[in-house]
Amino acid sequence: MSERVVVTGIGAVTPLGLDFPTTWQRLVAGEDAAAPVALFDVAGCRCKQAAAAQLPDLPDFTPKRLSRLSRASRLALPAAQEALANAGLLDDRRRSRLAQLALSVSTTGGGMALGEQFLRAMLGQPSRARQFFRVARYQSQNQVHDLHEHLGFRGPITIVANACASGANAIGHGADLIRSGRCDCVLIGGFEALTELIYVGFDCLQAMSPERCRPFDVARNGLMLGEAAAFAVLESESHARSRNATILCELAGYGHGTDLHHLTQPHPSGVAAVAAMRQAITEAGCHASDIGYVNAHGTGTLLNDTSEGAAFAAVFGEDGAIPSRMRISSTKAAIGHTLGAAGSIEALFAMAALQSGQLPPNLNVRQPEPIVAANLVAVGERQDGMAATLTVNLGFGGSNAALVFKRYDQGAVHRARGGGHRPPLELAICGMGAVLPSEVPQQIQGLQVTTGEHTVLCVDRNREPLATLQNESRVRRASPITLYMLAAAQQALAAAPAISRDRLGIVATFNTGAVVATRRFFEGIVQTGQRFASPNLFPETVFNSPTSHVAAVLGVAGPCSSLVGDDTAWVNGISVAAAWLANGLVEHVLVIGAEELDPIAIDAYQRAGWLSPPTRTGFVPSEGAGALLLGRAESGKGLRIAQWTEGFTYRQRSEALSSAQECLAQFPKDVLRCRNAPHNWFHHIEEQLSDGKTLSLPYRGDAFVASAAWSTIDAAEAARREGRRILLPVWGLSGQCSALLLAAG
Amino acid sequence: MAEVSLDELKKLVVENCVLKIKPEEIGEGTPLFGPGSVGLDSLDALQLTVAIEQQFGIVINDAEVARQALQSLGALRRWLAQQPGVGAK
Repeated sequence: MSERVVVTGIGAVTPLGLDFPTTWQRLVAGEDAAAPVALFDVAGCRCKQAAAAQLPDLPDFTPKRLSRLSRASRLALPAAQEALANAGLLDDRRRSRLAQLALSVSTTGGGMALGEQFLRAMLGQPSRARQFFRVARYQSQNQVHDLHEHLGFRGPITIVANACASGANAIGHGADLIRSGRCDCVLIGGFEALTELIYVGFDCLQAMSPERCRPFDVARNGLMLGEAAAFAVLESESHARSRNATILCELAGYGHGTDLHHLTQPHPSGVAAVAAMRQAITEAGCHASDIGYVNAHGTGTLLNDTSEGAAFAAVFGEDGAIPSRMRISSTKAAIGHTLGAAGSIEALFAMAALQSGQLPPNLNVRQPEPIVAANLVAVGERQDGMAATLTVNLGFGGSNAALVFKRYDQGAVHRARGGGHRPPLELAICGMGAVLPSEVPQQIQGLQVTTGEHTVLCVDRNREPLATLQNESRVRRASPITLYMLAAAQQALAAAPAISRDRLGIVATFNTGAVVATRRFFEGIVQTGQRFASPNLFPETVFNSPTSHVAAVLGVAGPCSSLVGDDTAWVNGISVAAAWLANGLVEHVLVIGAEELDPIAIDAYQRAGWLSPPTRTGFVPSEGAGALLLGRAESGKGLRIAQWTEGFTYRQRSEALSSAQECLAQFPKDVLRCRNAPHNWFHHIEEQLSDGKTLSLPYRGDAFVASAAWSTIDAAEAARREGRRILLPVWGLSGQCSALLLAAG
Repeated sequence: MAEVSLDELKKLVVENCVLKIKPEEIGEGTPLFGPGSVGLDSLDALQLTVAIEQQFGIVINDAEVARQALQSLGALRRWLAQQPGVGAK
């Protein structure tokens, strides 16, 4: 039987406070943090306000080290530290007592402000855009490395980027890791720093209120953006009890679904939110009537709050109305919509409400939406003795997620999710698909495929099936990566045409993601001004938009998640798929790895000195996608992933070899190991690991997670061809070695 | 005042909405939204209001005005003709 998941520590930095207790005190008192934006220029925007956080002091940091941290890390570090301290896991030097600790985090923008500085310089004065470290440090895995480095722990990482639902998904995934027995303690969290690109994006969508954010008011006219970081320590009940930790509550249920209605608009009746909430309530072993308080997504946009109200009525309604004992509030009028952190901070609010009986008010309502009029929390309200609380988030791309927290009852009988399966030890490969770059470099849409002596490998989008797929109306605005993902996914599904789309999930993995759309959107801001930023392009810059398009075209309304990171995010994706299959959430999962190239990214690689001449020892930028259709395998039968390991990060290059050895030592010795990195930084490590015969895989340039996907397909075919188990190391540029064992039989 | 040409508006819609059809395939009376239309959605509507402001200097703040003006290219052309200071560029 799988274990209960409990929460033992929380921490947050928000616009209302430098820590969680201050935030909570000011929140329940009815304060809000709306203020004019001062972090960047908003002169060309329709709206001018947001909820910005004060950055806590980091006394342990020298000014130089501090200057290298992104704003996102400045928010995340103290929040994570507070959560560890709250859980009794921080030592006297303010570092983690656990040397190994898994992380499951979420963000949408990462350190985007650093990326913006680079983009602005490149688009304006390229000669001055030499500070590559800035753009290199914008990606989300860098904030995770900051956490590892400064809090002194290491372990597997998962970075969820499901837009506004990410935070709830990261928590749910952390719980999955514990329930499936892969970890007994996970630090979960979300972080989001205000950035110009995202602010202008919401402004051009006219989704922000020019005056006050009024969730669930009939006259609401938009959201207010905010920034925050919120972390929590999740543990298995036995782990928490073995160290006599104070248990704050139980994380009892997690549900998620995908709304295929539209990229940015929820279905009017909130079908996916209904599915996510019902799934979470069922998993928690409660009834809707057991929920005393709901922290709503409640953005304050016309469509969100209508859709969400309908979803609440469907889930909690009795005789056509939501009973008044059920209290509901959106906390976004107080701290703003914190996007990738929203699911995390709002989960903390739902936990605090459960523990304290205090309820966070729904501010700025003059005339409430009738459907929730009897339920909105006023300042000063309490609800003591609640059995459970719920939080729900609806995101761009139709990502919907819900969590249920229950009062911890030591003696309660636990209903294990999905019958208490352990994860399948082996994953059946039911289909494979790939979109590869052309072997002969081609010129596409102004992209210089050779810059000087450097070779770049591009996908030829004029070839089938890509040429036809471009005519799908859903993807007409999408960044090219969507086409690659869709074609690879369709090819993988073609091998198993009978599988049920109702029982199919999607996990997509990215390193750079939709970089073409991002560059084009920001280019518009730089060239024509914030006022004329493109509403058609902004949603396509969001990490999970391509995933959402693929789900919509394939008709997959079940769980869909987007993960980001270096090449090893591909193995994180396989691990997430395994947890879903183990829990019985779905029967099959499409795991996709995809990347696209853009001239500005190639320029960045060039400035970093990555583009050595086109030999096998150089870095050759590439693009495309690979997809695996995975199911549960019968042990020892069929083409399968027989074992996988998400390797630990290392903090210095000198630790890379031992980190790789640690990872690969977990696999049997009598397997044939692939040489998978003859062309990059890890060449010398592979040389040192050399222990006899190895298998070389075809090289198709460096396309991060897409390369990892192609290598997996190559290794699977080699396993079938050679009748041997093949060990595939997957090397992460930012410091990780993960591995997969492919077998056929 | 010179009227905005239909061809100019066709180009504006096809380019801004990333349509996979040729500009000449859109008729003056073809609905832009809804059944039997060019197939635009709410994001396209916002995109077109931005494009109209950028190209003609006319700000559309009212959703109902936008809905009326963006029914078809003919409606947009007539609406633009009524706005002071709009001319072909």
